[in-house]
Amino acid sequence: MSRVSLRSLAKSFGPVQAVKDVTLEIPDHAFVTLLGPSGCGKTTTLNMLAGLEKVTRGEIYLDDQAVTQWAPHERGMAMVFQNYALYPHMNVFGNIAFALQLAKVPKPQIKERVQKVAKALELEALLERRISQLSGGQQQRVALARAMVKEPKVFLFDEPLSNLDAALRTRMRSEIKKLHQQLHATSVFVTHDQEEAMILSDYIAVMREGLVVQYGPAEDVYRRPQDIYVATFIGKPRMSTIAGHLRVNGQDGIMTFTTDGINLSWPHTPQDGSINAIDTDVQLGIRAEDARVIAAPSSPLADTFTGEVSLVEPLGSDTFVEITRGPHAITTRVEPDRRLKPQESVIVQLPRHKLHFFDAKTGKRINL
Amino acid sequence: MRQFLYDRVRPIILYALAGFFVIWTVAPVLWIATMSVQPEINYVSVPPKLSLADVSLRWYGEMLAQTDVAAALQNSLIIALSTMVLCLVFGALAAYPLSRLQLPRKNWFLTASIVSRMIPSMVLIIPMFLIMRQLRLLDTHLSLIIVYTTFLLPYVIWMLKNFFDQIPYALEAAARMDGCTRLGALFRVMIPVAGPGVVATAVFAFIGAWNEFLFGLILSTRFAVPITVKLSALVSSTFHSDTSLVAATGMLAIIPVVALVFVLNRYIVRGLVEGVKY
Repeated sequence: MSRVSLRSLAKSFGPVQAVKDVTLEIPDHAFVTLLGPSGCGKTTTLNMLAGLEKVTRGEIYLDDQAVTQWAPHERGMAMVFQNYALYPHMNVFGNIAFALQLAKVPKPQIKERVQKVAKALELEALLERRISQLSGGQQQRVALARAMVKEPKVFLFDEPLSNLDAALRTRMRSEIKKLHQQLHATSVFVTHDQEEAMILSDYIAVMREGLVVQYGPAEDVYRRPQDIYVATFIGKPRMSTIAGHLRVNGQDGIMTFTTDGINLSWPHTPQDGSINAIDTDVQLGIRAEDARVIAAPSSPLADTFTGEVSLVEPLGSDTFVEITRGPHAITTRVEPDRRLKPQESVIVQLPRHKLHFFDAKTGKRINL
Repeated sequence: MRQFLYDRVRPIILYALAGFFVIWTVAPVLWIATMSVQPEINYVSVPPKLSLADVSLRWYGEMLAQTDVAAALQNSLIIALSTMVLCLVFGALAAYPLSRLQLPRKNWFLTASIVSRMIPSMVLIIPMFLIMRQLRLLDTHLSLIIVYTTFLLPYVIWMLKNFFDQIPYALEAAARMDGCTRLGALFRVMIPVAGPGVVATAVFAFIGAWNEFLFGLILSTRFAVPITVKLSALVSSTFHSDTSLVAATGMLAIIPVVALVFVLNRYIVRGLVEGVKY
């Protein structure tokens, strides 16, 4: 169990800067996900942490010890790979035992440790099987066993679920989560699937173009995205955004958002009492569960607009409805028994405290 | 009608073509095999008088009893096996970085290595002879092993590189996480996983060395004469008027290669057809 610290890590492949500057503090026991689209440098970062790639610049610390130049196996880390990467020329036992054999662990002890791990992952009956005789889920469990048997300080996961079919992926995801709850081992997980990241992680580092855009507790990343990229990347369905103009009157504290066809206003009372005047182009963001479709308002409300239902997507447990007004569209979640029909006219409420504003030019969050 | 042609006639044509090709390839071998087990008179008659009654292995016995033929076989075996081993060792050590590491001008090296093989052997004979004479290696196994390894290595590197390319990076990464060095990962994981491909490459190198004639002729005189050179000497020699003896020697030269291919057939086919199946 260990703390990991990445300090100003960078990696170039020739002229290509895969990782530009990554600094992350990973606390003991934490499950941290590096999340981002392909090519954002997340796997390269993981490979540098593992020691598989040399770093171009920066340092890696493991419990306050610099391990930047250490060989992969000296770091006490174990990795689970995307395509399992099991050794096809060995059987299951051989795969799990390989690291211990290389470390010259005495034979009886190897056997004991492999048995223990195999039991935990229900692989006991399969130890003599060849890898090609295993199903996808079994191979995944062997890959986990191979990592666990080393009793590593840090577990590394390189998109281990992306090759599985949907049902199996959900199951293996739960298995990884349970494993972490049992072992409490520091884990770093790489994925491009934001749902996976949300479900598994204590902390999420959202990456883009070789940089960490936001790093924090999963809940924070979801609730307070620091820029529009993070906001729209995390969350399913995608956060709706509307381009418009935000104005905060420094005197009376009224906040207005205007765009063609939509005029919204809210009372603005910041906690510290100070009101800064704002007058700028923004992207307004709202999550599907935060925008509400309401019955006709008793009194005209300033934080609502009338729109037309353009798409209804019932999922059974929830129904997602796309509502358009002119060129703008937002997605909201409604109760499944609320039967809305396309073309129906509805009133949508955007509650003040659920809104996110991002600067139209920089994409950065505007904290009000 | 069209369907009938496709279902019935097409396979007939395809098999006929394939059959023709097989006969074309195998007939000379069958002919020499036939010649090697009966007296010359049987097959030089017109029409040939092939009779089972005369079949005998005595020509083989006679040739093997000749020390220089047996020695030539032994020479070829030593040279071909050594060449094969050296090709695999150096080939793997070269192919691995070419397949796995970020190296500047990697493709230049690969192209250059193959382009060097476009030079006709004839051009290289005199310099090679002079080099070997200078090194006092003329008429030794080593001279031929060096020459064959040099000439075969580019092909071996290309073949092995292609096989290594097919092995996912993660497999090697896993080996390194488990405690292998890069070299350890090469020998403990990459080569075993590329098994069929490596076997196919080995057989290719063996056959290449076994079949070589020109450099064998120039660089050997007495002690290191390979079977190809010996065989040609027999054919042109006036002492051996008995064609059956020459045919038997030819068969002796073919047998090790056929045996090797036969034993390793499964791997060769997998290596060449499927590549490395991961």
